[in-house]
Amino acid sequence: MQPIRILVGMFGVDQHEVGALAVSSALSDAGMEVVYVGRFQTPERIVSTVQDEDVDVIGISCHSWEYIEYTPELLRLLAENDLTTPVVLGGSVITAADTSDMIGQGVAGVFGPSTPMELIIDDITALAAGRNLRE
Amino acid sequence: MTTDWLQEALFEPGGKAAVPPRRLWGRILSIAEADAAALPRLLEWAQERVRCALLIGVTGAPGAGKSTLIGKLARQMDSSGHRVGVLAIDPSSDRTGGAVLGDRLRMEAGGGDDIFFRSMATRGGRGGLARATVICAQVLAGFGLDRIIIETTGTGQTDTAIAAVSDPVLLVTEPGQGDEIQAMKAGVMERADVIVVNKADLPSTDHFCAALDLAMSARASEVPQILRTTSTSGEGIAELAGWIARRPVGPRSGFTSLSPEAATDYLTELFRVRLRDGFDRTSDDAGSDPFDIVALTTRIDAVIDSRVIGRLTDLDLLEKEVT
Repeated sequence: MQPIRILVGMFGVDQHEVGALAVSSALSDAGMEVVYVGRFQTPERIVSTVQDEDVDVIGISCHSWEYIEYTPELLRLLAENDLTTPVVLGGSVITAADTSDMIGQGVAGVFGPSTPMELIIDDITALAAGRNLRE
Repeated sequence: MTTDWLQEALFEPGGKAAVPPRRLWGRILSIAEADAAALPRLLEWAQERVRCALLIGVTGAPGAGKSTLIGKLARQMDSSGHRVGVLAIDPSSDRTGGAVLGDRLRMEAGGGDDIFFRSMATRGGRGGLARATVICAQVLAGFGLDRIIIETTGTGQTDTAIAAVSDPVLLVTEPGQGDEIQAMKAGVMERADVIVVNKADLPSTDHFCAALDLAMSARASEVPQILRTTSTSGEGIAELAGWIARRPVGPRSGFTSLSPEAATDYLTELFRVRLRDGFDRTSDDAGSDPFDIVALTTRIDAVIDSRVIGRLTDLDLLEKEVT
């Protein structure tokens, strides 16, 4: 059983890093390898990192509105590069309306505030397994 | 399934070893990391592909600035026409198997980003390297990269495995790390080819370098070069790259020109990785013998002096006893 590899980062100038760091350390405690890329990420950078690092899941921490602009672009670039890597979003600013919009566009999971860590771990584990099944 | 995919990625229909598209490199490294059954095919491919690549080992205490230095050095080499890859190793938790791999944070974005960068967790590897570091470096060389920078976990004293697989070995330190220097003396300090005094903008740099110089000159063995850098500003990076470029290619550089001594080190590492994979496999792998070192040896035999192989055959017994 190989460890699940997950990228964790933030789009644009979203400066709120505490949540991403806390989740990263919880995922690591759950036995995953977290490729922590931190702030100032663009869809282009994430796609090139996903290729080099061969992660199973992409996790974006969202504590500013920028994800609404960047996420569709990320999904488009992933498809353009034949990448099926699932994208999950997590954070305080994601509204219910935006959640269904994002899921509609192809995001694999959205974790709003107060989501239990066990649920996040279970969902990411299932997504990583699904990716392996698809291949 | 993996092997079919790998066969298609690495070999042309006629069986000739080919360079796969860049977007597949990461996936292929994952296979090298995880799938012991794929190793013979990868080695067969690498044997045909690999010409000569410099494996640059970077070690030093945590916080000395290894990652930032590597970011700058990789960019410098990239801009002077080299094809650069980085393997950055961080420790896996021995409790959970998980890891936070944060070395990318220090690689600045920008430019064409031709630099290949892979974060690796040690996954049980010893001596500051990941279990699959050697294999992955060889695979990267097979992709045509000619400068492969390996960043160890940075535990200092025990990071000596890097000296067996890379040349040159850079030990990154900073002014004020006197105590750590003492601690490292018997370990990687004596295997370093160059000591990089990073954060050289600190006022205590002159004093530190003088002390280092004195400590080094008292040694009987080869005295390493001491160079100063300030990674954050890029000061001294060009000089470091120049030193690496001018340095005569040593016995540990490249894969086709190994001296018997270097080959022993290299093969030891290779055998160790293979053996560890074997130990970890469970009995559900019926049909393949995880301890089939002979098959592996046969493949490497063509490039390495067979006398070295002869000396290494006892290793598997040794490993069995140790493990």
